[in-house]
Amino acid sequence: MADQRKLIEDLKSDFKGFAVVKPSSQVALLWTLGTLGVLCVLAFVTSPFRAGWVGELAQNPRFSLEVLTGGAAVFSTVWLVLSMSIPGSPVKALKVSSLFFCSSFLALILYSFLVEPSTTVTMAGKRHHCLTEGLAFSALLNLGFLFLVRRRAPQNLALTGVLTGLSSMCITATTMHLACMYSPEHIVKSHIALPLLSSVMVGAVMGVFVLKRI
Amino acid sequence: LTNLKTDSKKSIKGFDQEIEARWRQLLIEASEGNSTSYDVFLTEVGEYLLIYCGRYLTSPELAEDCSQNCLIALHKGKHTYQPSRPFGPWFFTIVKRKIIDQYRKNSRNKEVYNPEIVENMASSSPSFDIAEEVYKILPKMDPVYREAFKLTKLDGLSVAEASKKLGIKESALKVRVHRASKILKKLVEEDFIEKH
Repeated sequence: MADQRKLIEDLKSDFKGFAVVKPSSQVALLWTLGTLGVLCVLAFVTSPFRAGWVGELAQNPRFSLEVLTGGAAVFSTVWLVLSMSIPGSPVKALKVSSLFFCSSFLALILYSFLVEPSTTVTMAGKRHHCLTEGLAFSALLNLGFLFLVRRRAPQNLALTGVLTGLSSMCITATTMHLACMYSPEHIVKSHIALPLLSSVMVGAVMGVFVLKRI
Repeated sequence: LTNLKTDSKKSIKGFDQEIEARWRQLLIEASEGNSTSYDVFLTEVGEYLLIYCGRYLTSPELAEDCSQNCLIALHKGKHTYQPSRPFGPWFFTIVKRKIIDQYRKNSRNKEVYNPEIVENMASSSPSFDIAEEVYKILPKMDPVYREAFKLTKLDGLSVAEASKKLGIKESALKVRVHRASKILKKLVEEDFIEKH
């Protein structure tokens, strides 16, 4: 008991007040919009976007649905990760929505690949290093997001890392959907499968090293 | 351990609403900078934790150890409590995780945690010099904790001086020193067991 009293004295000795963390939904929205914006600017600076992507978004419902679902997958996964890092936060509904949007995004891309492309297949706008760009952007976003989550109190470090990797990969995949050439095969290989594998694995490892449990 | 999950759900449901409201209020006041409320919060929570951890851990030493780890975790994660959310789930999630950690640590170091060994250390071996052992064992410690321990306990720096030197907050340093003492105690015991 004496030890405990001493510990309490230590803990409260230089106590000042503290700012409570912002609600997860607000932070998730800011992070999603902010990173999508920054990534679009970065991708635009590296190489021009595919010509006519604005028209495709406006006139092709399936293509715009793919992009919107990608954005929703990012937002729901980011919201899930941020909520998971608040002890006792209810996350069941968020898990379901994240799973729904991520699998819908993947299903739409696979449908375009296996059945019918959502828009005209073209080599226009081909970025020669889109895979490398995607991996680099994902890694940067992943690291940034992990540092954001670190300020909270994540409990399951590896799972949090995996989900941050997944959300970062979804952000780059959505951006590349607009910026790079449109070919379902290329999208599945270079924008989804390889970045997904690497982001999730790197995320799990980085999660364990960057995050710390309270 | 398998019962802990369901037990913690029961604890949340059966958590006295008055206590929950009181601790929630104390924590909100603490977030506004009221150190008295924070002191009351830690004291009351500390007493509750001693009993709560005692339900899951066999020895009183382990329960106290665990309740102190819970207090440190609650202190570090206090900013994650959102006043709009109920207090119970936040509190028990942190506590449950710490009890699980204690179980795992305990199962890895069963013999190290035997209190009889600690008591017998000095008496069974007249040549056992604790200070000498500490110096020998210090290099085995994680550098983060070693440095905090060395500066405050061996070099004689004050908490303010040591925290300035390490570039961390005073409260963080205190937590490190507290943990360092525990780690050191465990290492000394392990070393003793190896030798005897």
